[in-house]
Amino acid sequence: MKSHEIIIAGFGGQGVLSMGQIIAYAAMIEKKEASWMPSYGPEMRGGTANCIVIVSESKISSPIVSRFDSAIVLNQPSMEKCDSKVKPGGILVYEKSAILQPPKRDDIEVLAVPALQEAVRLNKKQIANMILLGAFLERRPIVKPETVIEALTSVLPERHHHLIPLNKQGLLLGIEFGYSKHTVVA
Amino acid sequence: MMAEGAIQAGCKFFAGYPITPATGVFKTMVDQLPSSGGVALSAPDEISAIAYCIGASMRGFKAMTATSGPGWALMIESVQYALITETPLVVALVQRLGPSTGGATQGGQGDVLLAEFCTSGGYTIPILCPTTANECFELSILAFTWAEIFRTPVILLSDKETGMTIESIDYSRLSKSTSQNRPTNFAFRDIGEFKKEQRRGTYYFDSLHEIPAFAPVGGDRKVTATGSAHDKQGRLQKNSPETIDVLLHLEEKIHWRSDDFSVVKADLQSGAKRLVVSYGVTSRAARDAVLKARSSGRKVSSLTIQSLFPVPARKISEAMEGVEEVIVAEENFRGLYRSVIERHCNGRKVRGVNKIGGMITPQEILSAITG
Repeated sequence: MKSHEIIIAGFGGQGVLSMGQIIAYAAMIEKKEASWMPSYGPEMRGGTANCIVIVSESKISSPIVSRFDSAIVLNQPSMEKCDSKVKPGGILVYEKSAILQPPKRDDIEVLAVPALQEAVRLNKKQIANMILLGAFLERRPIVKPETVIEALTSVLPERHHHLIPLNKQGLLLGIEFGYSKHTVVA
Repeated sequence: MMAEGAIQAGCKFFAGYPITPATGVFKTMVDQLPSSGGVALSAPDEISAIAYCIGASMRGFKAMTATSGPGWALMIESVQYALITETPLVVALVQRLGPSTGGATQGGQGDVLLAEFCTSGGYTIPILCPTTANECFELSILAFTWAEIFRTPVILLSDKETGMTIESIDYSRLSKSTSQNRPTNFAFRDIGEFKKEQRRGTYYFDSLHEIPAFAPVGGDRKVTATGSAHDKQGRLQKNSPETIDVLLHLEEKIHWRSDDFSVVKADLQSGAKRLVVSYGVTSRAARDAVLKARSSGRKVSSLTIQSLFPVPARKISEAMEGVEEVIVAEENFRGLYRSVIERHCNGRKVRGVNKIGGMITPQEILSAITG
């Protein structure tokens, strides 16, 4: 892996920005170069939010790029924006319940994850993003699951540290889901 | 990193009013400055914030505030007061999309000229512009050094993308050059470029470019501070030759040292006919674009300007040798800095890559280089 460029996009409150931060911190723990650039509207919740994460073996120059190796999409408006920006051979992971029109591209890997449904089943809606993240990392092992767990302590405020085991559970669920889809897309 | 650089530089006082995208500096200062023996305050508004800082600085403490465009608009009056009273001060101005409240969470590089030309009289305010987290740290230290030894407000001008992007850096490789090792808060006492005489006022100089010795309010000397035109002792006077000298001195102390204020990163390629000039976060896209252009066999040079003002004219001229066309990339629609350096281009063709509402991508600069 020389350099991996990811866009994560959705509504504020879905954990879009924290998902990106988790990847960036995990990369840092693994002594890779990382950058995380947030972009969001003035509203705290409900507005659109996205972040661009770059993980690289060498120094990162521009934190913005026009085309991405991977996209993680959590709502329909973001799907319309990100769909065409994934490089051929890249991957697009999305939240199944939020997308009405799935992408039609056949030159990329597309993975629909019922993350919200799984999270609701566990009665913890807020770990849907970890399920998505797990599924994504299973398909593109940019950082190791162990370091992701480690990174949680940096990203989550201390008052939420008791939720780390739950987040870990979400991540593992996602990884399992990603694994179960191997045969389908191979 | 701007805040951490400030603490490393020995900043002991911070007052601010939270505003996106400068809140990171505010928050880091409030979190970390007290444990470094400093004071960090949340002020009721931006006008109070900068006034608190000026007061702390007059008492002898290194002081900093941080804001964005709308807050800067409120601070402009007080920055002029810091300038005329020769009070060291660092303002971290993290730009967002203007005008007015503009785009609170969108980036921009539209405050370049507002920051520089904010004084009645058009005095030069040194402006430093970091492009990476590393540079936020290092230029923050340099901003303090300049503010302290030249007794002037200095602006650390960044943008939302530079201020809010999180990236990995190697702490062990950060420069520790101008840390708290200075014997006093005011290093100019040791550079010996003027005669320090107790009986003289805190604005005393022999020749116009000299930096007067600083005396703190509440110290053993009488200190008069006024925003009105004054003589070398700080006494309000109108149009006396000495007062006019003081006003000329305020500019001359910076102008005379213009070359000392030049900080650029030049990546020049011999035989290049095109030069890309950029600053701030746009420089990172420019670097990518230049590397891509070179890998496809084109010759192109790049100049990143870190000290926007005073304009590093000599270094710009050096970078332009042999160049036929200059491309200036910046995140505003009029080409604000382009208009400043055009006069240093000696008739060369000058083109802008401009955009608002989003960062300029490497691809957009590459198209300008190859187009």
